[in-house]
Amino acid sequence: MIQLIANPKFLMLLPLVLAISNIIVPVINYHKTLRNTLLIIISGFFFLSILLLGHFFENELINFNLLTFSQFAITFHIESLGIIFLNLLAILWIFSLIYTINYLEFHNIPNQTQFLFFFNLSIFVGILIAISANLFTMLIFYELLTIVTVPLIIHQPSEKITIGISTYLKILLTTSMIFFLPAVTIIYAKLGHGNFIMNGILLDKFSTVFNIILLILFMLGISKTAIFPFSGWLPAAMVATYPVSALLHSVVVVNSGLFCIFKILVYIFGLEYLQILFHNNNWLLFIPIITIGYSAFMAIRTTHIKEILAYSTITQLSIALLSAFLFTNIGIKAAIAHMISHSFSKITLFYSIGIIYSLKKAYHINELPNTSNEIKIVSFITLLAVLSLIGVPPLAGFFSKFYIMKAASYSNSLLVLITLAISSILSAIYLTKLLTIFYIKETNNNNIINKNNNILISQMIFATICCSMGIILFYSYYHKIDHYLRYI
Amino acid sequence: MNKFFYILYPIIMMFGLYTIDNLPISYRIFGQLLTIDFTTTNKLIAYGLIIVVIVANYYAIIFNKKLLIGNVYFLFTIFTLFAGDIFSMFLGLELMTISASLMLFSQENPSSYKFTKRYFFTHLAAASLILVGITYISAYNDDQRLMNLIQILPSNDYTKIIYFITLVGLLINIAAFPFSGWLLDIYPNSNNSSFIYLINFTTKINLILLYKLFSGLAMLKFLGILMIIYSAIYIYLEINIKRMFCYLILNNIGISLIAISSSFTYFYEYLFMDILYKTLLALFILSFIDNNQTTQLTNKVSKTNLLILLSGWIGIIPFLGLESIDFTTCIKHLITDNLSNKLQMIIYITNMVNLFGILSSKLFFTKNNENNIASSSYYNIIKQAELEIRENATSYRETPTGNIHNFKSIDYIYKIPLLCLSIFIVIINVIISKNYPNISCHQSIILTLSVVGIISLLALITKHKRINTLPLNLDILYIIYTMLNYFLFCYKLTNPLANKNNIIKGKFLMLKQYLNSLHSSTTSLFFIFILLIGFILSIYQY
Repeated sequence: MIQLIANPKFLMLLPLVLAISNIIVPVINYHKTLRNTLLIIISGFFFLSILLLGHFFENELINFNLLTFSQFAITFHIESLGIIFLNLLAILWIFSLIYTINYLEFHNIPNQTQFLFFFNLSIFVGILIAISANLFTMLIFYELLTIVTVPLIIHQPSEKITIGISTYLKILLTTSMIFFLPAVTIIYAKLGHGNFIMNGILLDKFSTVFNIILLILFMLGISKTAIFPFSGWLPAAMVATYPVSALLHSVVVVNSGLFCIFKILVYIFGLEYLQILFHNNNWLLFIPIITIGYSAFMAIRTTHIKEILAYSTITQLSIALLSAFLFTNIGIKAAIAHMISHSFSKITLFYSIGIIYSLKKAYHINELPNTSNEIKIVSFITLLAVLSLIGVPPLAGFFSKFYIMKAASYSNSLLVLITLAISSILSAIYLTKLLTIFYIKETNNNNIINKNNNILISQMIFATICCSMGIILFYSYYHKIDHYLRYI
Repeated sequence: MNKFFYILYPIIMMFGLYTIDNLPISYRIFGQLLTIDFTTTNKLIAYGLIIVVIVANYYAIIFNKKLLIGNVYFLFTIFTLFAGDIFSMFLGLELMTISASLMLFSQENPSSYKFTKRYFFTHLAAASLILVGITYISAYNDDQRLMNLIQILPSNDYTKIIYFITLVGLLINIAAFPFSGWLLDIYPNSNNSSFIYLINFTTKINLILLYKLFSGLAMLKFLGILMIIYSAIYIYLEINIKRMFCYLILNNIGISLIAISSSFTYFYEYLFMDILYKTLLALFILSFIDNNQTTQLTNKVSKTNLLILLSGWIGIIPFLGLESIDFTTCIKHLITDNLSNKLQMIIYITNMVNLFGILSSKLFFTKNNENNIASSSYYNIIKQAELEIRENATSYRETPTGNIHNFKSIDYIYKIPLLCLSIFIVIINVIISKNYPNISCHQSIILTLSVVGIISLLALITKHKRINTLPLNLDILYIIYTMLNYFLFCYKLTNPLANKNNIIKGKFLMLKQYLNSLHSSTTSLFFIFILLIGFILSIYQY
């Protein structure tokens, strides 16, 4: 039995089978309770299978070749970064399903089967990105992720949503076709493969300048990281419902973007080679810095709740990139820690604001006074999530920021240190305006409009509290991240 | 019972601290080895802070104010005080900021929103700067105990910048000139019970941290002298009694900075006495405010009870310059002993100006029977009306209960803590003087007495116009924040107190259109094609 469990192919196939079965389950739409129970149970088993995979995984590359066309192969493998991303997806899948199912019921959203199918499919594509073994596989599933999230965003079509989805597709598809695809093609043309190998594959293959150009092509092509000026898709996608927004911002889409960048830095270029490339002047840092400044400025100017959250995501993604662009082991570790801490903080924030929206139908922050009196627990969870995003100890956001600052200190990068200090203040300015309005009391403003379906709301609150545990207990699982990344 | 607990637990805490060994305790949490440092000096300051919290809780109970948040603030202050390593120090500072912000926010008067935001952002900015230093120390030094930074950091240009950034963070937290604007704006506008908590906690803890990390830094001496001169001028001019008191705090911070610059041995003893005197003076001032229902220093003040007046005089002893009668004054003289004669003379003159400024407020001579507005029927009518408004107003939660309009009971409320604290200070002076035989006084008593006498007489007979001063403020964050608010009209919508201004709105709309045009998908595509052409050309070249 143990031999079977410890078999690498079994370990790799088990989560995939579970994930595929979770995509099929929404078809059972004639019995909602059974469907919902199955969805949550299978996602739970998926999480356990990932834990098993992590337990038996000791930096052994487990390869699985699906298809081969000439030199292009769709191959999967398990490695350190992938395991961490899989863990994140697995844990968030359970809570996001609990929340989404209840949200759909609460708002009586039609075609729930279709919605849940694409919801699970998006996460499945995210899983395939996590285990992609070469650039070609990564590119295929990166593009597929963009496409499978479209039905989720336009689930309830309107003119506003059509405009939003148009921007979403225009930016994501154009950048990947114009930058990402040529970069992959060039590497395959020269090397004959694009496999992810420790310490990179590009050393001595191209000139220094050409390698820098390739790096920039990847950076601009993977615009799911929302770097300026290709960050417009993220606020545009905010027209979707709250569970979809959370999926885009915290679970799979933006994290896939970051993950792809990290993997390319570590396995295509190699950190040591990148350090040599940017030894004298690491001007690449200015790209996330400009994005941080821009998104903070935009977040301060708006009063639309979802826009504030969208720009906050752009800022946090750029902070993770800032750490990764230090091109050191500790920098990559800190970037991954920040990706995880941001995921938990943002999903908590989205879900709590989603509950408030469900009860108050609030779109703008000036519709939120008295919230702290009306929905105390949710207000408190929002407070935790906001404080974490600002970076207040002992919450998750503080630790990830602390690790990034430590990485910057090792690299003597004062620019990163100062940027992080300023970004904290800017984050505080736009996030606290969301928060403080909760606690302002207006005697004539008591606009809870939907007090029915308390059970559904309670279950949504339960999912949100579970996500908030990730913020509070962040440090306890950080050593696990450190353990997985010990070979990087 | 619940309220009694708030008086009882600090006393139990004091005994607990007394019995604990003076040894550091280490524990591992969040992957960091954290240390709680129970040294005698830390304990001494803790005793001072416990006395403050007893007084503040007594005040809050009598006037039916909220107790919980103030006490949480106190506990985090104690945690920061005993922090033996940089990580727990930072954790404590952040928790102090949050609890103090909550305390300010819970006041729920119209300005609490504005001042909470300012307090939070100022301290967050300072914390961010301190964090830069902490991460650097953490990266380059295995030993993370709180030690003098010069000793533990490698000496290079990069370290100097980090050192400077950390210093600025702490200077913002202690409200050093020119970053003192936040203290002078927020503290006077806080309610009376929060005022007692605020004046002693944040600045004192940060002074101690400054002493631990930067003692011996010569430039602090000049900053200290600048603060003493600055505060002396403003004490003379200020009409708001609470703000005048805040300038007195700045004066003490100035003296403390001089002590830190010379690694003064008795720094903790000085701070301990300063905490006691400041609490006494704060209570005296609050009795004045509650008696007169005004914070303005006018000539029409009510008759003050003799006992209260006496406690006020005890409170200003450190400013009198009579070093032979008080331990604190002796220490103050010792602090300035290391300075050059010219600087000593400047401080001496400034101290006298300070004294003149305090005494000319006539607070310490008040017995104006003719203009006693508190006893007038007109005042009673106003007071009664105000009380009714407060009781009816749902937005103003901190409704004073009890017979606040009965002014005899107000005197009675203040007499007990003022008397206890005055006696305590006298006893402590006696005890501490015996324990520190090295601190001797050497000034001519007759000369000092003459000078103080002349100044008191001058202060009594002269009259000068006092104004609402506008403090010099280089709170960069606040300036940026105000500018952002000005330009980004949209943000003003979030502030319920903000007024819409069409001109600003017009400017904002233009800015918004401009930004939107920059951020459309068309612009993104334009960027893409420009970059693509650039890449093709670059690839072609290589």
